[in-house]
Amino acid sequence: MLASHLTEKLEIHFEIEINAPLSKVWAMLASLEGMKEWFGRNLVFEHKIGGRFQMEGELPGEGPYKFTGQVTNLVPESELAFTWKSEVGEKEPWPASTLVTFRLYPTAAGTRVTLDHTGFQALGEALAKSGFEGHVQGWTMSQTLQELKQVVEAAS
Amino acid sequence: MAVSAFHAIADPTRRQILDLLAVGPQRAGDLAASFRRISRPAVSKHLRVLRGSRLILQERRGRELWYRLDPMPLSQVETWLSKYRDFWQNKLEDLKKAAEK
Repeated sequence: MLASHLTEKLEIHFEIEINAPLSKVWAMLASLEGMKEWFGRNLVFEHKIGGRFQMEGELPGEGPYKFTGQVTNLVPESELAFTWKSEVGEKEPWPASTLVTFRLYPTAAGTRVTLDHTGFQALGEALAKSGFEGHVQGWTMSQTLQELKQVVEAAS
Repeated sequence: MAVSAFHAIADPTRRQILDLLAVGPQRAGDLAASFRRISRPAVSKHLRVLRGSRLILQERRGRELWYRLDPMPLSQVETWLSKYRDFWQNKLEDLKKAAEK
């Protein structure tokens, strides 16, 4: 009940049904050429375990962003996982990496894709360990790492 | 000790404690008795972590110690994560469009 609700607050999970065969979805998902069609134009993606991932861009009104990571799992037509760490865009680079996992399942109509973005608690743990100190300030809505820091500060 | 709400709710026992407190405030003794497989000192340690993250509050009522839930730090976590939630939702829709072309 609440426990699953709490887990939902710590993790991101989405599912989407796609009317295309596994092989086509996998090609879109796990190749640099495919990813450029939907994920972003300024990408680095090395199709191998341990391969580099990088995504850069600029959001109107929010400024530049950059995420980096490493491919941790690659099972053809089944699973792609890579780490995900903000380097630019938040007020400070993230002190730890999170994990993004895509899974593909065949369906009658085509393919179901699930996305999980997990490991956000590692950011809180790393900040707590870094011994960040400062004044406890009110929560603002600008949704940046600064606010996450304030959660840690408020808890210290 | 600095403990973030992320860290606090990452542990299943602590989520279970929050579950129990979601129903209503509980006496410290009743709370510890709900966990038969976990020692009282271990439950106390989890309660300290939850108090450190301000997810629960301790109150003394007469001679008894009570705990109650404070959901505020959780809404802060949710607000921060919502940017990434929106991001992935949009990306999955873009993947669908690209694959169905």
